[in-house]
Amino acid sequence: MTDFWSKTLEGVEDIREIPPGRYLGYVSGYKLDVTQDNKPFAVLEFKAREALSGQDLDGVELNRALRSGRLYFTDAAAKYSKAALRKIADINDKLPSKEIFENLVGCEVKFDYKAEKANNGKEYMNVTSWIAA
Amino acid sequence: MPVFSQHPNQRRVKLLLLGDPGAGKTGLLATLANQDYKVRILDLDNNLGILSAYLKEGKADNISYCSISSKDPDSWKKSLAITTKWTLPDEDLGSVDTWDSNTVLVVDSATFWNDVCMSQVLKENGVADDKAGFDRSLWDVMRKRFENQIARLTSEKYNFHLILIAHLRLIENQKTGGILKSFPSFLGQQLPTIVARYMNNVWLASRTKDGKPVLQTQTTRDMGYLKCSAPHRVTAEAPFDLGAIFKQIEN
Repeated sequence: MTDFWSKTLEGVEDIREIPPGRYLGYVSGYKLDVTQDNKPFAVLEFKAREALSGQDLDGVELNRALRSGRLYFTDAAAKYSKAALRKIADINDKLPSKEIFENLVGCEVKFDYKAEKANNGKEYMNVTSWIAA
Repeated sequence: MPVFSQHPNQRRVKLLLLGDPGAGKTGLLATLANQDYKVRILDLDNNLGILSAYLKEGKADNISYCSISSKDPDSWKKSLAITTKWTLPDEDLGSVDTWDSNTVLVVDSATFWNDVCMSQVLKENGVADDKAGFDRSLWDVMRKRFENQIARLTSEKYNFHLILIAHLRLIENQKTGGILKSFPSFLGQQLPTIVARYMNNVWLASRTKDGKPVLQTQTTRDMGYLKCSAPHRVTAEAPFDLGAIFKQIEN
């Protein structure tokens, strides 16, 4: 049995992380939530279909959901978040509403996936910008 | 242009099956074999004996399993190997991408599979298992690695049905002043919702007030994350028969 497994495990490797770069893909989902101090925010989820900037996708799983940073909908931040969403679809209503985000799901987009510095100083891989494809 | 309802993966069941110990999650798998589904179980829970109590005569051959101890230092790599190509010394069921919609791959339990993933990450970084709580960066590595596998198993390149069995745990909801809520048991705060989002069905094995076992298939007040891909075909409190429910969804 030991021989069997040692042979079977040869070459077994984890899936590579999706490399940074520009992708063609679609909005695959969203999350609406509030922070502990009651600030409403949304996170968009994207899935890539193909690389647009020459990334090597060998050993990568494209079904992996890639997330944006938080889009806040406080009075001060809402106009920026709305402007970001308008790059995908026509957004006129007061945000956030579930219906609006439901309509974004499935929209074809080009997006950039790269490291972004968070408030805690750490870098996280996020979808940082997008535009309707 | 093809009609979306005819899309082959529209009826693929990707089920996160939840329940407390003793709720009958593992025994439910026998009902799939009884309906002649080919059930392949990655067994990390070492608790498959219960299946025989529910199997109908002549249906045992519909079940294949691979038991891997979660204490095995190679358990993560073995699990990746077997969920990619099911080849064992006495059984070769081929690459999982050749499996059809009459086949069900079960990870029992995904809670332990997640633990195994964490152990692998700690081992690679030379950290003892009990130090997991001290290094957040390793939690991120684990989360991404585990999510990649969930993304793979749920991707459209596969046709087989997928069941991830998970235990439940109580999490304090800080936003609502510490009220405890029951969530799928995966490591960290993010994975329970991340895993659920890849699945098109999240059901709870539970019991009615009079002790009858049922499957809750749709959102309840206490469990907002339950969902069903075919609510028009499956009742909110479905009979304890996965095989029959899968047939309903497929037909």
